[in-house]
Amino acid sequence: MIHKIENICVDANVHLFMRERGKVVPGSHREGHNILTTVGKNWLSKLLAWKTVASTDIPYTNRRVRWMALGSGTQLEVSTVTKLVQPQLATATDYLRPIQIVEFTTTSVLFTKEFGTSEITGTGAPVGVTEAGLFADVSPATAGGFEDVSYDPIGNPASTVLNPAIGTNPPIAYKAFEVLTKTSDFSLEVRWELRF
Amino acid sequence: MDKGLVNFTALFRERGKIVLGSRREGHNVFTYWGRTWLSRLVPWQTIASTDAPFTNFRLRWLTFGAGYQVEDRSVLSLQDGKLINSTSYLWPLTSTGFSFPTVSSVKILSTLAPADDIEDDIISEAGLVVDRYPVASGSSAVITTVGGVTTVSGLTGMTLLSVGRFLNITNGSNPGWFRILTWQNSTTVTIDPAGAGTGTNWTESLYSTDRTPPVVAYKSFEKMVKLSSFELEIGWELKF
Repeated sequence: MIHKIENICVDANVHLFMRERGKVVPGSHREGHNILTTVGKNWLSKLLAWKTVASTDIPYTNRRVRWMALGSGTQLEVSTVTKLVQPQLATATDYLRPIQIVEFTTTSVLFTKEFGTSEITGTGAPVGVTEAGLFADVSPATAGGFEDVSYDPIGNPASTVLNPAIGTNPPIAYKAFEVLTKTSDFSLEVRWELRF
Repeated sequence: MDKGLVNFTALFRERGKIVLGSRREGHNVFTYWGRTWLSRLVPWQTIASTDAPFTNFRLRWLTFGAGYQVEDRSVLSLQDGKLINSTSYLWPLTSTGFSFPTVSSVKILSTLAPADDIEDDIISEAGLVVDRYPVASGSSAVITTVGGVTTVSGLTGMTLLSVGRFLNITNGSNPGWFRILTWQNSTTVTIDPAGAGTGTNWTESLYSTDRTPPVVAYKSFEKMVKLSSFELEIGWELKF
């Protein structure tokens, strides 16, 4: 028998930087690997499987990567992360903002979200951004509630979708980094890559 | 960075008891095809009030063979696929076959009964295949052959994962199953030009009598000979 051990890895890379009137702000690049949380691994394992195999298959979950959020806290990048330490409102009401662009290589996917000049810094005051999270979700909630895991412990325990107005949603991937002080002059672009 | 594992077990049982010397187990490979599938499964294509995915393919079939090849990510399909019950190279996973032994893993368990026959009774390789039902279909395919390349447009929902699957053209001249060779965009693919006709009704699917369906995970192992009194038990675990 000829074989070698291969693993099934999920490498996650994050790259953040700010722009001012289109130009990259010097010193604003932050990049590095980050972690897939236990919530993310649990989601991924359920995403692969059919709950019902029949003439009309039914999955365990229909969640896919849908949101990003930023925060001002920091914590160890370990798989037990369940929320951002100090989430920041991106708009007047919401912490979670939808992914804007999805790009592929053969075996990887890149998610991009540009937080605009009025996002995060809606009050006009500078905000020190030090953490970011990636979130999986689906809209609308699937009839029958087969999403398996309730993600809204405060607003509606029976909910099967995330509430973007809640700051404690569990990320599937998490990154902490050196402070980036975002003002309303800057946009902040986050590029999050998952390599399989 | 996180490193997961793919683990495989196979064994025979005779009247419930494990047949001595029949156990095969070890790590195995998650192929480039599997990694392509995951990268397309994870994102939404459209984020809106009703989200739309790039693909809905999930783990759905096992396939068995009697060949050997290096367990490498570049494996595309079995080397020597074998028919199961003389009808199909695809063995369906069942709803009860999926379990989640840990918070970050999924396990597949599948059993071939003593009465289930494998061509030549020998297996030495196995693969996992992704699929979904109902399959994509439509009635507005446009087939064009230019310079020996046959292109089919007017389809919906084609992705890179369509490559290696088949278009079943069911009307017009020369209806039949045509392997998808390349993906061009969400509505257009190229197919094996042999016999391509004029049909417009199409279904995108795996072809149960295709010996080489694309596999997302692959394992080769010492030869096992399935007797008619043996039950074959396959376990496949993906840990993240």
